[in-house]
Amino acid sequence: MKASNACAIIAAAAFALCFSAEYTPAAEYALATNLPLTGAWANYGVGMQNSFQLAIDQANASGKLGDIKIRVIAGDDAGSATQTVNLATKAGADPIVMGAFCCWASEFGIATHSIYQRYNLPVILGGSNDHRSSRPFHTDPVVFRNSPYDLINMKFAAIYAAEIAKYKRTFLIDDGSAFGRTQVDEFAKVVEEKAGKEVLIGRESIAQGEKDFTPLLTRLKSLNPDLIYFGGRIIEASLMRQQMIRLGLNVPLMTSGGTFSETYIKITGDAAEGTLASFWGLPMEHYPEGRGLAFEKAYTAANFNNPYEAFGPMAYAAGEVYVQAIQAAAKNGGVTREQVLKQLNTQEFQTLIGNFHFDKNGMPSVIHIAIYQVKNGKWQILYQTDTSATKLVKVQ
Amino acid sequence: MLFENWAQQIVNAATIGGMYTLVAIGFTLFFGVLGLINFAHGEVFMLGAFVALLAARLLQNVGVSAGWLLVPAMFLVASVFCGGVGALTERLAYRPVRRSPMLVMLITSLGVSFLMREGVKEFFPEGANPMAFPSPYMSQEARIGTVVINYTQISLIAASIVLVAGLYVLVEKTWFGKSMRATAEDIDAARMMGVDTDGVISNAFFLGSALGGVAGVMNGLYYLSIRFDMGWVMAIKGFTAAVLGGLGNVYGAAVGGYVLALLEVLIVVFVPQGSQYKDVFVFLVLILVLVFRPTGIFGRKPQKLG
Repeated sequence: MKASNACAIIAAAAFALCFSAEYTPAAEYALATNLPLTGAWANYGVGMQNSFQLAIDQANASGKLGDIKIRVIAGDDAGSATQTVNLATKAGADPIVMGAFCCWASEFGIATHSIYQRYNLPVILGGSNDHRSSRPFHTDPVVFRNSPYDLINMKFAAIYAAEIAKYKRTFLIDDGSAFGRTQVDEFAKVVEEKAGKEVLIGRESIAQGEKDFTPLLTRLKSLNPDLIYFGGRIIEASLMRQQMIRLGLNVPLMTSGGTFSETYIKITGDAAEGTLASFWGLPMEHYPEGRGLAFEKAYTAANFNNPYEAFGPMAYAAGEVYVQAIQAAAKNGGVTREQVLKQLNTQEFQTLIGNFHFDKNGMPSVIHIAIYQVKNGKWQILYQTDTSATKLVKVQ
Repeated sequence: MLFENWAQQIVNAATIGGMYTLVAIGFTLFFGVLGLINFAHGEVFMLGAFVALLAARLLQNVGVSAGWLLVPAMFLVASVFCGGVGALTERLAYRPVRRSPMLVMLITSLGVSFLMREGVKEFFPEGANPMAFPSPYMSQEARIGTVVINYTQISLIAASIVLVAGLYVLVEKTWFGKSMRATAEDIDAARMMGVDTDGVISNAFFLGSALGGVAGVMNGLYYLSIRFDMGWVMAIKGFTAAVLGGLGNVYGAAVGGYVLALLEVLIVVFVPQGSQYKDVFVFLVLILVLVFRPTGIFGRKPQKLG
């Protein structure tokens, strides 16, 4: 081979190598999401993804990050635990990823916390309401959350049912999932403490994916319940509510974050009226200093195809937390997973849901829980917790 | 249990039984003429719902919102479309492998099933998400004592009975029915007697798939929401109903659908936590039927044809 040919080949190879490797500026970092962007829960997941992306886009555009650029690696769990675990592993193995935002479904939060821990990758749970995905119910210090878990949320749902609305004949239904069962267990425990065992007139489980609840509801109708509490998710809740109304069982159906959603009203139609839900988020105008309304305005201006939905504010707040943590990490020795983790454990964050820090178990120091009811085709807030989350206060 | 509760449970079972029946008839027709357990049939059921939704949206966009016009149009569009899809699938996917071992056709049907399901998920606007389904008669209902039956249920029960009766006439009283029965009995003998067996099989696929599409629309009208992955469970239920009635026997499938629905209701009523485990019990019954009476309720020996 002639020397000139060899040189040409080496030059071409070097040239190709330059373009085959991903170009990564020194100050570019990534945050990985792990959310249901397709499938039965996509209405929640897409809203969360968009909201998280919005927080990062705003930070990048603001110029406050200096030469740091943050990008979002969107992960679609497609409603599959296997896919969730794959995404967590992939994010963990990618050195450019400094933090993760994970898991609408509780089961997936439970399945992935140890994977994030294995890679020392900080993760903020924006959904995953089951307490078993959070500390101190496991010991993985990379896990944080910016909303309360079920033990706290269900306490207030039960207080509303037992002490405020004073339901006397409550029938409990769960969907057999870890999320649904725990919701109902906790709700039942507190209702029993507050109003006695006799107000709980029975309990049934349904299978996820089931569509026809009319045999069960017909049986329930003869028991004359004044409240049906359902620990489960949006599709089953919607079908159950429609079939309740169809059978003339017009008593409130109470649910929680698995159902609280504009999509629930959309697919349930008029039958949604009267549905109750406890949820760990507030109407936008209730968040401090107009931050909720500002988020709503920015989200609308960004022209996303889907609404931000119930969990959008938590996702946006998680994005804000990461931006502030990365910013501070850059000033305090460099952006590494260790440093971001340190910032999450020590820093005070200014976010849409309020100013807060994470406690020793990765729980936010600010908690909002509210009781909603569908009235005139919209979720209307009835009660919310006081600022220290000790009691429910009626919303005028 | 009070009489009113029983009456309500029977109305519940009749509504869902009608859907099971229409899907089961498709399974039994395909098995009868081709010896095929067509797993893509559940996806045809799903396609029926999605095409009807599309038709309803188009009609509503041009100002047609009257239920008496909208609902028949949805049924018509879904049945013609799904019938066409069924006939086309038979021509393109099953006919080339008709003489191959049964397993080949079975795997082909699974491939077709994936293709349809993923196609809707990827290419239908927002196909991955649950979608609200229009149901113009949902809010109108009749009450007999405490028994509630809304107009959607009445129309679904009536439609399934009329379709089964129409199928009886078609199978028993027409040349096509006679040809289909002859093909199911012995395809080579039927061909020798001058029956266009390819045409019969193609028409049987059209018919079975059209009924599946109708069941899909019924499902949407009744449950008010549809999803791209709704076909699989219905396929299993429809297949179970067909086996209960006697695979290959059209009347068996009709009865099997209602028996299956009634069985589900009884399990929920009498078995503690029955709602969660009703599918387990139903499939247990299916296993028992297969073990002790593999020919199903109507006792016709299943045949492999083609």
